[in-house]
Amino acid sequence: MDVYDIYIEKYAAAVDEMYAKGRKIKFTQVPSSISEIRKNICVKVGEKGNSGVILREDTFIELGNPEMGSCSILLYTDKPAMLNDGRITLTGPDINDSGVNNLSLDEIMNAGSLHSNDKDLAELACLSKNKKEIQSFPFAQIIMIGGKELTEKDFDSLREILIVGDQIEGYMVRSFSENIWSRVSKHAVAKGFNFETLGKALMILFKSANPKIESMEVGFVTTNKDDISILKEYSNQIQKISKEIVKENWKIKGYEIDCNSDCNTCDDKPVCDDIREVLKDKMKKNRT
Amino acid sequence: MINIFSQLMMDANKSLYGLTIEPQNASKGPVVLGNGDFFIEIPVAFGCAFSDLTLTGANGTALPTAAELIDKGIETGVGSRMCNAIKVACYYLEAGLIAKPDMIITSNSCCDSMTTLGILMNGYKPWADVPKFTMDAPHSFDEESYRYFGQQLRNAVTFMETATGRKMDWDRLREVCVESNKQRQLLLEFQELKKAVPCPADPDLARQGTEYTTWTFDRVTPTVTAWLEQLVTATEQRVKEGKGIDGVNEKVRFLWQDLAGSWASGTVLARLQKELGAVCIMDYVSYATWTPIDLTSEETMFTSFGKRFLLEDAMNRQALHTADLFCNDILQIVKEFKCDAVIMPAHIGHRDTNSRLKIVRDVCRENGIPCLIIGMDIWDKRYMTPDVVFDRMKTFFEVSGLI
Repeated sequence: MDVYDIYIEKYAAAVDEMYAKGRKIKFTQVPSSISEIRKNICVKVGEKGNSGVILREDTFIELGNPEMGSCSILLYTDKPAMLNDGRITLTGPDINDSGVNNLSLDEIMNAGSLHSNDKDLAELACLSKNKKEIQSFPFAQIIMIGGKELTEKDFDSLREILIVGDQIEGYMVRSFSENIWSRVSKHAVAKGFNFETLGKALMILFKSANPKIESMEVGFVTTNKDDISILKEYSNQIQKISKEIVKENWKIKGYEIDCNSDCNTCDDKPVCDDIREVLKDKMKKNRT
Repeated sequence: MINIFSQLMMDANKSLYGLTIEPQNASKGPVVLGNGDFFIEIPVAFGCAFSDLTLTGANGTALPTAAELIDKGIETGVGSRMCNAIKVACYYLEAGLIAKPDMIITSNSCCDSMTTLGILMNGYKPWADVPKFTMDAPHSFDEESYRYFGQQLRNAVTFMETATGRKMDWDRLREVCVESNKQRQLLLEFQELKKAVPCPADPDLARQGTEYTTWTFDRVTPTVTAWLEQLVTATEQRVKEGKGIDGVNEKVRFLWQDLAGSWASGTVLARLQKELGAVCIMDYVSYATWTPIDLTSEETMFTSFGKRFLLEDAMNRQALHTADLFCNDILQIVKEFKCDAVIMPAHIGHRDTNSRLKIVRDVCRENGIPCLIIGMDIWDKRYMTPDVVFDRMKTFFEVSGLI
């Protein structure tokens, strides 16, 4: 299972390139085991982790509103050593750096764990007057998974884990096609939710759901639309590979989901032609 | 009980009356006639009327004379298993009941019946002198396809300019797209709110909102935006209060993987909700995945149009692409909207969906999701009556242990 390996390398190269361009990059290393990760995470993760819908007024920030740029990539390999297990890479600002204009002063002061500074608080005082527009980051999420026993057949189950639903407290992925568009609640940010938290939560969800996973890295990019579009281009190529895997997996189940043949090359053309003739005759008889 | 939601429903329904034959025939020109989804922002910006004969036919099946109209459609000689909405449209056309349009724009859209209707319109002799343009929709969803179909839509604009001697006002198109983006964002917002348990408002409002936004005479106007804003604000309030739909004790949430047609909403689905607490959370028309139109340049705008048409518009998304996309949507909706069951109405005219029934059943079985296949006609209640559909669904919910 090495079809995505080149894109794992390309992503690493893209991060290097962004670093060379002066983008802020933050690496975090978290433990390998699920139980160790769970010990040090500020939100609930698992079924019904999030108690409900995150309303507009409860939203601290949106990630990947399509107007800002959005991209979600899932890559996996049967060479777990290709990945640095437990690494979370953030390229660009963190959630806490997004300004605090959506959070009320009380919420900030009561939260305690928010890494605000004097400048943030001063900004907050000016901007916390119920600003209606929800702030949004451009957002790319890259999930990379390694496991010696992972094969093409695991694609469907890994893809399903990506449907996060209500499993992360204070985090809601909006129903959307192709890309990712999510919301982080003010309440979660007040508890200290940031990209490290999101990375850890995703590691818990993936590692719990599939025991074949031996190593996992998560990358986030929040810089700008241009950086996202580079990754989006990779994503388009990756989708083509994924479509082929999907086709093969359906074939194993006995279904041909993408019929590329045309009538002139089909082996069953004579049968269809005969049926057509019979129908023509029948219609003629009906008319007379 | 009249509340804000029933008031909103009435407003939208009033507007949907405009889709029936008489108001459509009274449209002020120049009139573009089509056979299915067109990128509606284009005619709105161009300042001309767009009449969708498929919808006019579909709305005919909601009239008291529906049965008679359907039977007259059969007499025009179209296949007996063809979608009845199209049969009525064929009757309207062949009987000379449709006002002569100024131009015809058709496409090989998502269903074989619509394509047939397009062929009939293009070959209709009394309209031989009407300028015609046919778009070619690829059955794929990737950047190349969006660009390709975007170019088809751009060519349609050139065709409209030639046919009318008018020029597209590009600033106006941009303005319309900004309004359209606002409306789609609000519809998406309402969709998210339906994830709350219990469902805070009648989910059918999503279908009505989509139809109001896209198909009625009020489409892409600030009137609709205000309607949507009211809908979202009222629904948010109910989510905050933890309230469900008035008078409904929600017990089952299900996905209706097809159109609701002209009679199911007001009969079967309403009754299931009221009597059994079984709420239809989602159907074809209300499932929305719209990407905002990218206004950066003319090219990005048209590529966005192409994407919305091919991948994000109701029925095109479900019917134009692979079984994999179809099944994944089902799994995603079930998981994200906490549905307990999948209902496949298996409308007799939807051959594309019917060819996937076994696949869907297998996928649901693999994932432990109760699934019922019905086999009804969403436009003609004589084929399977509302009572029979209700009883089947009730029995299914009972044997699945959901009620």
